[in-house]
Formats: sequence, C-alpha cells, structure tokens
Amino acid sequence: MLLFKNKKGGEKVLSIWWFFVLVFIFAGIIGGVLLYYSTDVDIRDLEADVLSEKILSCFNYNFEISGEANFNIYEKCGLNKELFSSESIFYFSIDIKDEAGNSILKQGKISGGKVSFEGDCKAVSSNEQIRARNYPKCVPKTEKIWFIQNGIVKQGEIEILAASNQAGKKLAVI
Amino acid sequence: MVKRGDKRAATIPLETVIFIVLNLIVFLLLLVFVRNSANGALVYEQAYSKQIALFIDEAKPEMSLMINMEKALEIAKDKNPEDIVKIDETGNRVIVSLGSSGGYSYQYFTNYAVEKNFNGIYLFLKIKEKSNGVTNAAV
Repeated sequence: MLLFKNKKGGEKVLSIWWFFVLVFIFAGIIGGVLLYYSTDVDIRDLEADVLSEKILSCFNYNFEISGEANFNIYEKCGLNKELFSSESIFYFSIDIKDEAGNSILKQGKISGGKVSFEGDCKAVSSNEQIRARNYPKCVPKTEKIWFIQNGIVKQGEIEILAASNQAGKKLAVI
Repeated sequence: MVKRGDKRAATIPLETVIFIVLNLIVFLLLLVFVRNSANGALVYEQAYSKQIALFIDEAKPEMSLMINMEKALEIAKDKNPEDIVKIDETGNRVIVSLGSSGGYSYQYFTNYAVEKNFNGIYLFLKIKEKSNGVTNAAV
C-alpha cells in the first residue's frame, strides 16, 4: 500500500505522535497535582469580619453627630481609601440609629467600596439555597455603640455590612 | 574472525536525538514541578500571605506582630529570609515567595506603614501610622 511504502517516514510520524502522547500524560499529571495542591484557602468571611470590627471600634465613642460631614472614616479607621473605590473588592455600609430606632445620619448611610456587593449580599442571605462561589462573603452586624450628640455621650445602635471578594493572586514573576 | 557491524547502525539519526532531548526536557520540567508542589510551596505561599495580610488588617498603630515562619524557612532554605516576605506599601500587598521564582500576593485594606525584619524563625512586623502626610478626603 502507498501509505506505508516509506517505512522510515512512518517511524518519524509515530515518534512525534508518541511525543504528543507523553505531553498529554504529563499535562494530566500536572493538572492533577495542581488540583490537589492549589486548593484555595478562603478567608473572605474572616476579612469581612475584621473590616466590620475595625469600623465598629473606630466609631464607638468617636462619632460625633454634629461633625458627621467632617467624619473621615478612612482616616479615623485607618483604611486605605484607594482600596474602597467603585471597582473595589471590598465594601462596607454603616447606619447608626438612636435608642428609638431612628437613623441619626443626616446624609444617609455611610458606605465605601463596590456598591453592587450590597445587592449580592442580600441575594445570598435571603435564600440559603443560593450557592454563589464568586459572590462576595458578607458579614452583617448590629451592635450597641456610644456616640456623641451635642457634647453628650449617648447610646445607640450601629448596623454594619462588610463584604470582601478578594481572591489573591499567584504571581509568575516578582 | 570477528564480524564487523554495520557502519550505518553506529550513527544515531538527528531526529532521534531531538526526540530524546525533547522527552528529557519535558520529563525534567515535570519532575521540577512535582518537586515544587510536593514540598507544599504553593499552599504555604498562599497560607502565609493571607495570614500576614489578616494580621496587618487586624492590627492597630504601634503594635508589633511576631509570626512563626519555621515552615516557610524550611521550604525556602536556599533563599535569603528577607526575600521570602515582601510588603508592597504602594499596592497594599503582601507577597510571599517560597519557590525559586514567583509567589503569592494578597491585599490588606489598612493604610499603615509596615516595617518588617526577620529574627531566627520569626518575622517581626511593626505597624505604624503613615508619616508622609497622607490624608484621605471626607466621605
């Protein structure tokens, strides 16, 4: 038959084919090892919890209602403002209520970071059956705090929603 | 009388040499990869960078943190300890590198200056207020 007339050529083609088979096998081994060893350590909920605690501790005894407009949350809480832009991987929103349950913030909620996370958090928390792996991890918190009104320390309630969707990065070159 | 072999059989064709060399290269690459993975460098890089970033996030100015880096030093025994952990203050990133190249990077959200130094198996981090007059605009 013409196809196998030149045996030498046939061997060459076979060698290249065998090489590709080897590459496929090795790719399989590499894939398996990668799957096994690169299991993601997910700390997004811990991160959101740390963010909410940080905000909580800097508001307590420090927040003055009359100075609401001048209250620089990034400076007071030691947060990097550049990381809380609209395309951020973090989000927080804060509402402070008096003892009667009325919001005392004249300018509405204080928030920073990616606003769409608030909706994502609500969607996941409203339905336990939703398993959204790439959605942010959210930590809602309601705590008693002390705030200052007309120079008098008063007790109220703070509602914080903190969220993180940081995945981390494997760098090929540093 | 000893019969002489075929002279043509003594020379190895070029394509066979290339084939063997290519196989060896691929096999070596596989060995290096499996060796790097099996010592846990990939997992530990990730774990250390996330742990350090969380510590920095939780810390307050003037705090000192002491982190046990024994396992990292064991994996990256050929590296200078100072090169294992890098704190990129402009990008707010912790980069941990335990292999010969590359590493794992994780961001922290606080706006503090971080000083680091190694002492034995411990990494010491000193958290400070940024002193370059960085001020953020009001909300």
